[in-house]
Amino acid sequence: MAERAGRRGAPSRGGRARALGLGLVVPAALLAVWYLVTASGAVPAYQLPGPGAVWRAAVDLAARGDLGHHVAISVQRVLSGFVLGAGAGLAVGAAVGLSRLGDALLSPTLGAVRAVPSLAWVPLLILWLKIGEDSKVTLIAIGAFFPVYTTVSAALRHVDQQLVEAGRAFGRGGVRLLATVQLPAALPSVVAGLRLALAQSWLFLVAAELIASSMGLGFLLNDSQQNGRVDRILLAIVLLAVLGKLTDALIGLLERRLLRSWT
Amino acid sequence: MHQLALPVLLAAVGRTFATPDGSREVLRDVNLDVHAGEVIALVGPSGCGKSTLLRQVSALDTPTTGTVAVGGTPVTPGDRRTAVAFQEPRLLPWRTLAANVALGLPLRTPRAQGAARVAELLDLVGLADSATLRPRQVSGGMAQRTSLARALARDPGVLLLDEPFGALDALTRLRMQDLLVNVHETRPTTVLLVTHDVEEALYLADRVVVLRGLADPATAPSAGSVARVVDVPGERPRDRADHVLTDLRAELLEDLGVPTHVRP
Ligand SMILES: Nc1ncnc2c1ncn2[C@@H]1O[C@H](COP(=O)(O)OP(=O)(O)O)[C@@H](O)[C@H]1O
Ligand SMILES: [Mg+2]
Repeated sequence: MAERAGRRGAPSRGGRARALGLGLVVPAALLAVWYLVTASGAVPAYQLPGPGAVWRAAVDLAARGDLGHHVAISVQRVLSGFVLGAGAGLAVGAAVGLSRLGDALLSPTLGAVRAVPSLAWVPLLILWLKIGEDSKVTLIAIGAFFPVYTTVSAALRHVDQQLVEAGRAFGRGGVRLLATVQLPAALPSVVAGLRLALAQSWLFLVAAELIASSMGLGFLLNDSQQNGRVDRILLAIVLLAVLGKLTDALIGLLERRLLRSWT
Repeated sequence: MHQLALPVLLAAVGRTFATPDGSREVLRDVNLDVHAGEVIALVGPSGCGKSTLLRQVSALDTPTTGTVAVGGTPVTPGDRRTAVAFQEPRLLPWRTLAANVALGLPLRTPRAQGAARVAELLDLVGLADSATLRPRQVSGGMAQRTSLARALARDPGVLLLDEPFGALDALTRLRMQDLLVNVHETRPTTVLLVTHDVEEALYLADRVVVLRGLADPATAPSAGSVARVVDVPGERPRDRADHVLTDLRAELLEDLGVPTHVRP
C-alpha cells in the first residue's frame, strides 16, 4: 500500500495525461506495423486484412445496425452476469469469511465447484435453461462469483483481530461491526476481487456466445470464422479489447473513489 | 449526560489459558475492591498479566474463575460503562484521527454534539491541528493520545488504560499525566491504569497494586497474583519531588526486583 501510494499518490493532471500518452505508444506502433505488413503485401489479405479493411467491416456492420446490436447484447449480458455473480460472491464470501460455521459448511463444496472448468457447465446450462439469455447470464455469473467470493472471504478472515476487538470494546457488534471495521478493512481486496470478476465475466461471455448464440460479439467471432471473414474476426477482437478496457477503467474509477481514504 | 464514576469489584478472579503446550495460569485469586472515582495503578513485571486483568474488566475476556462487577452488576462485552485505551493504539487506518476518536462516542450521540465533543477531546490531548490526518501519518505518541481521546469520548464510569503513555517522549508523558489528573478532577471516573513506570503510578494513583508473575520461580505455588497493595499518601495533584513518594518508589522498585542502591 505504501509503495503504491508513493508511486501513484495524487497524480497531477499533467502526470495523468503523460501516463495516458505513454500507454498509447505501443497500440499506435502495433497499428503502424499492422498497416505496413498488410499494405506492403508481405502478408496476404485473406490471412490478415489491413486496418482499413477492418474499419470498413465495422462501418458496414454498423450501417446495417448489426454492430450496435452485437455490442449492446454482449455488454448487457456481461453486466447482468457480473452484478448477479459479484453480488452472490459478496454475500457468500461474507458468510464464509465471518462465520466459522459458514466456513466449515460451505468452503469445501465451493472449492470443488470452483475446480470445475467453466466450459463444463455449458451443456448443463443449455439443457436446463435453453439457449436463451438465462443460460449465458448464469455462466457469466458463475465466472464473476468466484473471484469475488475468494477474495472477500479471505480478506474478511484476515482482518486484524486487534481492530475487530477495538470495535467490540466500543460497543460495535454484528452488522455495525461489519460496517465500521470488517468491511472497510477488507475493502481494498473486495475491489480487487470485483476487478478480477469483471475480467472473468468477459471471458465467460465469449465462451457462452461462441458455443450457443445468435447475437453478440462471441457469435460474431464464430459466424465470421465460418464465413471466412477475417476482417470481422479482427473487429470483434478489437472491440472486446476496447470494451474490456473501458469497463475495467470504470471499476478503476470506483476503486480510486472508494479507497481514497486508504491511500 | 455524564456517567458517574462506578466502583469495580474483582472477586477471586483467575485466568488460565489453554495453549498448545498445555494450560497456562496467568492470573490467580485477584481480589480488588475499587471505590468509585478511585485511581488504581497496576504494576508488575512484563507478562505477569496486567493487560489480561484489564481485559477481564472490559469483558473482552472472561475469567476462568471468580467474578468482575462494575457498579454492582457483572460486566458485559462492549459495556457502555467502561472504556479502554489498549496497549497498542489500535486506530482504524482508513479513518482520520477525528473519526477514530468519534468511534468512542456512545452510539446514537447526536451528530453536532459528537463533533463538538471530538474537537474538544482532540484539543485536550493536543491534537487539534492533526484532526484530519490518518494514523499512518502520525507518530506513535500521537496515535496513543488519539486512543486515549477515543476512550475519553465514551465518557465512561470506569476508564481502563493499558500503558497509555508508554510511547510518549518524557516531556509529553509528564504533560499527559497532568492532563489525566485534570480530566479526573473535572469529570470524576474510576481509573485502572497499567504502567511500568513506578513514578507515574505514585504520581497518579490512590493505590498501587503490585502483581507478580505466576511463572516466576520465586512465586510460591499457591500465592495469588496480587503481591502487594500500596496506599499512596497525599492528594492530587502531587509534588513529584515529595520525599515520601521517593521512599515509596524505592520500596516498590525493590518489590519489582530493581534495587535502587547497589549494596556493598
Ligand atoms: N489469549 C491468550 N492465550 C494464551 N496466552 C495468553 C493469552 N493472552 C495472554 N497470554 C499470556 O498471558 C501472559 C500475560 O500477558 P499480559 O496480560 O499481556 O501481560 P502484561 O500485560 O502484564 O505484560 C503472557 O505470558 C501471555 O503470553
Ligand atoms: Mg500488557
